[in-house]
Amino acid sequence: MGEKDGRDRPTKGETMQDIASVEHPKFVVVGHPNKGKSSIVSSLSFDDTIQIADTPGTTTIKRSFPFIVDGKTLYEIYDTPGFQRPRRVLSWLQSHDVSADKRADVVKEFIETFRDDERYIDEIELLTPIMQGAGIIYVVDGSKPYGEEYEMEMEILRWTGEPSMALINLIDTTSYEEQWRKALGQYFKLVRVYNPMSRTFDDHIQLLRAIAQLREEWVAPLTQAIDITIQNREQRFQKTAQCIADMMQDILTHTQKISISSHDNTESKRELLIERYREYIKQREKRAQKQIESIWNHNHLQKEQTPIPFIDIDLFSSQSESIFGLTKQKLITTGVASGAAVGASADLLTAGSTLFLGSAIGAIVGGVGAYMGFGKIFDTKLMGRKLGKRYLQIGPLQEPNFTYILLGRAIYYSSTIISRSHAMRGKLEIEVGEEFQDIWLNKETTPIIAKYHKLLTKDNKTHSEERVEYIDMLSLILKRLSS
Amino acid sequence: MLKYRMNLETYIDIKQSTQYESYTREQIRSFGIEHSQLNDREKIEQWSMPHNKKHSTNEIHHASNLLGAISLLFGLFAGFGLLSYSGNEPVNVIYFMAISIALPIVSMVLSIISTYSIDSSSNPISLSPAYLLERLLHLLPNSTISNIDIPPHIINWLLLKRTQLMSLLFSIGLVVALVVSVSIRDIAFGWSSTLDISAHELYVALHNLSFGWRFITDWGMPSQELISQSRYFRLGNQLDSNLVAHASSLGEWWKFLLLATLFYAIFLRLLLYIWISFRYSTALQRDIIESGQVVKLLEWMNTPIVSTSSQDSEDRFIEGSRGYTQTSDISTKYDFTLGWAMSSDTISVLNDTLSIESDHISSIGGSRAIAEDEKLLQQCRDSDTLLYVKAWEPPTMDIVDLIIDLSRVANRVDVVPVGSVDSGFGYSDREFGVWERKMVEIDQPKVRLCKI
Repeated sequence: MGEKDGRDRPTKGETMQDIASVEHPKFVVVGHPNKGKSSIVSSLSFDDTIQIADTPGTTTIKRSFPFIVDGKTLYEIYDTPGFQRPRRVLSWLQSHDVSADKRADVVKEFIETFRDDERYIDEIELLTPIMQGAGIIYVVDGSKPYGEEYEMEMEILRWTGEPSMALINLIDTTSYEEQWRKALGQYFKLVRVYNPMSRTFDDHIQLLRAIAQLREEWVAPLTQAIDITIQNREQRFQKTAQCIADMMQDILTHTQKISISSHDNTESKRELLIERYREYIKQREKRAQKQIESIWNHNHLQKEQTPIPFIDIDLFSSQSESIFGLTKQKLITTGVASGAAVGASADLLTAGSTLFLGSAIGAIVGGVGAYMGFGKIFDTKLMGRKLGKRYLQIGPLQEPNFTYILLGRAIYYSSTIISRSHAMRGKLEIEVGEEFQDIWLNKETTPIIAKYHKLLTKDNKTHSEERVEYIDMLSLILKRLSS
Repeated sequence: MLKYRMNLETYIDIKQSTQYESYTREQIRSFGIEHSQLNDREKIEQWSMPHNKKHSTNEIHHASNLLGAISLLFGLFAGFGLLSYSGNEPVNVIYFMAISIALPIVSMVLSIISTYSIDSSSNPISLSPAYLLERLLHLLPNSTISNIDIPPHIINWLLLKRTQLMSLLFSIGLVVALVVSVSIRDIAFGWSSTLDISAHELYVALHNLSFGWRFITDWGMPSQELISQSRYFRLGNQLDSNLVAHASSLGEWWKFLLLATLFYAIFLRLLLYIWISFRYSTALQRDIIESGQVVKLLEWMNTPIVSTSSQDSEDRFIEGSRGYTQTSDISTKYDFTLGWAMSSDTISVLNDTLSIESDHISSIGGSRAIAEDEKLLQQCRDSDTLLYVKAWEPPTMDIVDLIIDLSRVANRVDVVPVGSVDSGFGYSDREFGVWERKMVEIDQPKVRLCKI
């Protein structure tokens, strides 16, 4: 902490950079051009800003991606340009007849000699951090056949004497994994398959664990980084769930008013009001999506999404089911379950002396309520006649099925974002399958959701306990969907 | 979660410390690291400490104290007024009981009823004297209380709590006035009513009213005889002879009045005050928690800041155009056929597949020594040369160097990207596009890119 002005808090402008900087593990991702180095770095650093293209030379300078926790760097990954003239470099190295223990010095000499030589700019960029003690992660494309030209690169890396491992990146569906394993095994102790596009979080952690094995002193900082990465992910799930809960609370409790005078065309005002109400819901969903993208570091996402079905649609139609709203039967079951859940609390309070009448009555009330409410997204009401003024009001949301549509969209969107690799650059197309509601909506989740939604539409209060339960459940659903 | 009884000071400390100062996330986390040994409550207290004692809760306390003092004085005056005794007629206990029993019961019932809707109130109870005085205090110079954004329901809880305190102090004033009055004067109490109430009925009513203390002591409970003796009628400004005859016992009423005031106006009010204080504290705590400010603050204090992105800027890559003009179909005869990092067998198979005749076939590049390649280049002088390259491998500068060197010595260089053996030497349009863009960059007149 910096200087304090008699207070116990940091002053403005203070940062945490004063935390001691200890030498941390560094890794350089190297390889032939266009073999997915940047994709791997993108995926490992959760960074969707790195340029990825199928043209060699996209990466022209090395870039560092430090994993910093509270100002302390736990490890650092370098993205580097690919080898461009490995034959000439190796030829120069081999022209020095030295014993194995002096080979690293020859590589350093190469860097010094050709530092300003345009021809070796890429090799200098990638070899410099290695010769400063960084570990090597050599990347190859396992979906293409092995070629002898790779041996030049691997031989150069061997000359550096730094700890190294190889990653087989399966860019396409064809696999030459065995071929590559045999060749890479000649040069690297550790060979792993890692596809940055389809990697799971577990793959990510496993890779970090493997990297930690390269050097003994890297185990502790990388283990710490792994623990924090796992913890951080947990927090992101929780934040995402909070974000969805906030959105649902805002939408479910939102009302929109418009004043009308006696000579106004009420029908056109009503339509205007409905349009504004819809626009609010659209914007609120959009805001929540932006927040979720930001939580998961997908800040440069291009996407295409089906619009919210406000539906001038009949919610009984098969169309509505396909956008994962509930069928009438399911909705009634949901109402029964939530009513029973509320009634059960009364039974519990009396230790069952009510002979569980609470649950039974709650179930009936919930079921009937759901039946009656089906098909009515929102009501417009004519309010007030004070001093000759009247206004139309819309909201809060009436239709329980529509709330499931909104929640289902949010859950689907979030789980898609969470699962999306940061190495992916294509447009994200969001289209929900019919079977999605069966995945997240079940007898455990339904009563909690229905109960909380009902409370929200009943009054505009924050129901803290129910909200916590709702958020925990959403978080659990997201974890399940993203595992 | 933050769980402790909160008072107005801590509430405003936290509100101010989270509202008015914009600390960066790094600074808040630094604070969290520095105080990691503290629990959440202690952290919040420590965080809000810079605001302690210098904010405007003092103004709120001043308002409460002032209102309390006024209430106490008002109680004293009311008490002395009710007990004013000229000696011409007795002091009517009904008046005193109305103020010490009926009024507290009614106001307490109203207070309890108002607690049911107070949490959802969206406006302060603006007609409350406690609120009006607060507004007046805002007009004082250097008042900072109006800077604090306190929600209406919190203000209403505060006003309700303050009302209980005012009532309590009013009642204490009443009791003090009673004790002082009976100590320094000989007061004759009596009772009078227009209603047709018998002494027995009043006795039963008073007996019921004393339910709160009579199981402990019956001290002070007026007997039916006393009640009967102390009834008077105001007719012709003359006192009832019965009243005069029992003048010495009429003062006994004070004991009942004292116990009734202590029980109804003070004891029950005190219970209500404690309950409302508890509800008020709960409302403060809930508001802090639900406003999300403390939760956010604690989250920032306790959550490590993790950054994984690069601080280094990236050179913007501009992809070259694909329109390489020197593309052509492959010829059927070449002087030399070379294959980059390919075996001679593969080159022969390729030539056979594509029906190409060639005088010389040779591997080039790959793992071959550069000196060997240079010799081979010399042999290609003034020749038509076909160079097979692996379509799936991007053109590195090693290949580009070779193509340029070859174009310097040969008459013509046809570069032919080919796919892997497994794909029947076929390649994708995307792979060909990569080569096409590279050829645009090289831009050598003798070099042609051929498609198979």
